[in-house]
Amino acid sequence: MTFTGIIGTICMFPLRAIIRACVVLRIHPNVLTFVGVLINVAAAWALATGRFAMAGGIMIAANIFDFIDGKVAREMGMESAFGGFWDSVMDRFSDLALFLGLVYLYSSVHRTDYVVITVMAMIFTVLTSYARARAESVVAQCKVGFMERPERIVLFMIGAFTNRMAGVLWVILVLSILTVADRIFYTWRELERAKAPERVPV
Amino acid sequence: MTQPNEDALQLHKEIAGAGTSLPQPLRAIWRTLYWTYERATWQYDLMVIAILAFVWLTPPAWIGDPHASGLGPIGWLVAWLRG
Repeated sequence: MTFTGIIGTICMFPLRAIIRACVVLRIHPNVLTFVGVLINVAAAWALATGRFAMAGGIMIAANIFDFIDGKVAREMGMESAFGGFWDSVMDRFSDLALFLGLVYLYSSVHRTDYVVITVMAMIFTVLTSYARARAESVVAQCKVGFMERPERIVLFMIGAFTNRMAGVLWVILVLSILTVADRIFYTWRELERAKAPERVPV
Repeated sequence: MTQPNEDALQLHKEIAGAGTSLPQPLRAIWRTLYWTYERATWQYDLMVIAILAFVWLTPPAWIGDPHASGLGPIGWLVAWLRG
């Protein structure tokens, strides 16, 4: 087993108990999603005021809600197309809120360079999910690229807890650019693959 | 009967085998840039280690971190080697 797999398995133990509690209490999964967003806004505020450790703690709470909503929906038999849509939209909002917190922080200390880096990371974060959403309207699946939301959130938390947010922003920016490029290439490749046999009569 | 379109055939070959015909060091670079690995694979672990190494080992001053303090492990090592 890989070490990231072991970490995932360990984290699942407390999460299973929380999921079970939510199922027993019959909490609607869409409510869990919304509560997660509100907590993420609080994390963004903590980032904006430079309280990184506090922001990290709040992000853990927010992302517990974010992580369990889909699983609670499945266990309660409440999976729906709207639930998936609501979750995706709220995820984008949470992402943008965290970036906005950092933009505020860096602009308040007059660091234009990091404002630009944060905004660029924000742009490519949105493009990462947009590229996949648009790609999956023309090809079956588009899951290539490293920097997806779970990776981004874990990186945000690592940056907050260890006070290394600048390094984290560089990683998010570079890997998000690569992820968008990967998705564009993959979609082009799949569409060409589908088209090629038509062009070459056997 | 229609002759096979050579251009289309070539394009199809290139797309189908993107990166797989490259020699090993270039292929590894290509596979890192064009990421298709799942989570919890050894390639994923390696990428995570590389990212954490960059985040934790790079001296904050090298990237002009507005908030981090201290030299970081590499900065500390460089300072120690310089005496």
